[in-house]
Amino acid sequence: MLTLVGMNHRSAPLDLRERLALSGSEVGSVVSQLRADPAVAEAFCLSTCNRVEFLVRGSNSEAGHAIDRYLKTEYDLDRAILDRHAYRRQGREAIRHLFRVAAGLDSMILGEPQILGQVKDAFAASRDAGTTGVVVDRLLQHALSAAKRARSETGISRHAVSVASAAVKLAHKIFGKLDDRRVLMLGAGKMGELVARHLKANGVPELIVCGRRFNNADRAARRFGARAVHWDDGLEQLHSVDIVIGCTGAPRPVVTRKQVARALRKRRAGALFLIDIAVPRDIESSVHSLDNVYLYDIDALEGVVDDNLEERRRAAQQAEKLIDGEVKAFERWREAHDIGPMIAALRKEFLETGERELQRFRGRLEPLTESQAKVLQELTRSLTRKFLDRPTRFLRESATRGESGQIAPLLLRAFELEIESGDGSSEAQGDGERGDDGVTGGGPQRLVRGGRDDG
Amino acid sequence: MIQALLPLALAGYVLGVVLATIGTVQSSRLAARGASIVFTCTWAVHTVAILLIGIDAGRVPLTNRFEYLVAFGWAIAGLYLYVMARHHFRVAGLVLPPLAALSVGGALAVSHPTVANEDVPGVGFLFHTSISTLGMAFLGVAFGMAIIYLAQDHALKSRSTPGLLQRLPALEECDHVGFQALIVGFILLTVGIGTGVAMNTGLHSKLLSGGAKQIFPLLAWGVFLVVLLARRWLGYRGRKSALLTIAGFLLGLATVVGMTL
Repeated sequence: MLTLVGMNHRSAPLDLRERLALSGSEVGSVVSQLRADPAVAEAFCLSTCNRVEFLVRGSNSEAGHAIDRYLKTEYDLDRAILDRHAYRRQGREAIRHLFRVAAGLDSMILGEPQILGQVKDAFAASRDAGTTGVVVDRLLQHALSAAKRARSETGISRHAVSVASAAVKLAHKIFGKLDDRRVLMLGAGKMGELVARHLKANGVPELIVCGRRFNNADRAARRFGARAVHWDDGLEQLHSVDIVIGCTGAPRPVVTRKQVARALRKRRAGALFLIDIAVPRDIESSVHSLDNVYLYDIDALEGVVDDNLEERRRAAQQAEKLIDGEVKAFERWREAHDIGPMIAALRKEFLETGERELQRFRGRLEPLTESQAKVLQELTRSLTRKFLDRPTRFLRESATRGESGQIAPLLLRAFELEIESGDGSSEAQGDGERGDDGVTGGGPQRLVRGGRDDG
Repeated sequence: MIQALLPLALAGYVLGVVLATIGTVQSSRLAARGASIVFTCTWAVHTVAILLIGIDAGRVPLTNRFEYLVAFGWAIAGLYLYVMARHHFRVAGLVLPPLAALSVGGALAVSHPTVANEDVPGVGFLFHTSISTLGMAFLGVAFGMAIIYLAQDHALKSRSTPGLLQRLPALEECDHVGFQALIVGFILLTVGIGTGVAMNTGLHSKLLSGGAKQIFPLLAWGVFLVVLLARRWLGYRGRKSALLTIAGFLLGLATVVGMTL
């Protein structure tokens, strides 16, 4: 059974998440401690600034309790705190949750791309610690590839959802590459600085900051590797820059339509992009109607962000459908994977029965030569194999259709079979417990849970 | 064979445009890749059709309206494939291949005249028509880029179409590709007009005979000259420049309508 226990920005306050936060180097030792619990066959842990999640696989729900025990021992978090601030997912819900997390569907900023790398790093750390096995390895590989599909096939990460990133995206839409563009920043406002930093990170080589108070402009310029100039000198450079960021505290516009029109005549170059994030505005709004000039004030940028968020929400609906399909595909793999021990047990049971019957009947026969005994033994085995051929194929096919969960328990009960669980323990039909989803659980690992739970 | 290949090319361009539209609007990579494959295969079919027309006529197939339209469509589709390979402007699939499709469709609509041996034109005439056709194809690319530029400009000015914004190439990149195509097209058109005037002088002992096929290219040439000079000396770019490029190309295209080769 797969069990996931986690806390995120929605479920737990920051101070609690801070207590649990792990650095990259700590993840290995945490998963090793979890794996040391006898109930746990595989363990994985993800820790980001917005979430901490533990995933374990074991033969039954006891594996989930191993997480509780670990959190109690290491962090003194009792069950009451976990019930209030943590979420618990089992089986299919745990798989689906992990897929959604990797795709950014559960992130604070819908579709944010960093989570994919964080899941990848956490997977690498758990794998290096040797705490993942066939199932969790496959689960994480599948979650990562599903997340990549969701990103590439839907627009979930495509649209900028902050004012600064929206401004940079617009700059890209006007100029393409930004590595030969010059930026003039009017004033030294915090928001303007954020936009300037984003532009710099996107390849802008030259940033000029001008302010009425040169010292303030110079201080701001030093913070992000720009050059400061005096106010009048800055306005004189209007014709030689491609992007202007307005973020002064001036009570009325400091850049007029006339100034921009004059700069345009002088510059004889391409488009001019004006980002006005000052309130009151720094640039006269009529500038936008000039040919080849694009003015975006704070309302326009927020409008772009709102539109983009809406686009992301629409894309998220597509991504959820895609994730559902991927979860089903993973479950089919699991069923096909889990049917192996069942078929082996069935085969073993039939061969042993055949062998027993052969021994019983040999006593009634005349003494056989060695070759006759061999032929008789081969006949028994061949008959056993022939009898098993069709049921085996049927079981494999039902697993790929996702139906083995219904058929396998009946078969196990009918033949009173025992199979080896993935983590080495032996389980018998009928000694299970009721799963959290209400489907009869226990018995042969995973198979007897109606095909809905992963074990 | 030619009768089968040209309708096939037309169907291919139409199918490619449908796939390119789905690929652009729905952001479907599968449809976009399908469009690229269809356009490439169709262009190969189109190339074979031109070769067969040439072999059938025993000369370069550029002596009448039918052949001009077939060749113009082929050249613009080829340039589209080049633009896609070089700049990955997926949205160009909605502008340039329709021109190729219209051109092939136009060729199929006019009759395919058989040219008698004595009508076989000279090298000078073939040079003039080849250069003019290629020039118009380059100007067609400039026209396509101008349309995309205007769409992007509209999206940026209206500030409310993020979906469309995401799918269009950057404004300056459109301008750059369009400008390059305009320069090459303008040079070829100038040479084409020059050779045309020289031939007309030789045949009729006057510079111009006043027909539509002479007036429209000259008007188009004049418009393009204004666009280029204004850009060079006044830094004249943007919407108005794009509109003039579109007007110039449409004037050039009108030559085909008035063509009575």
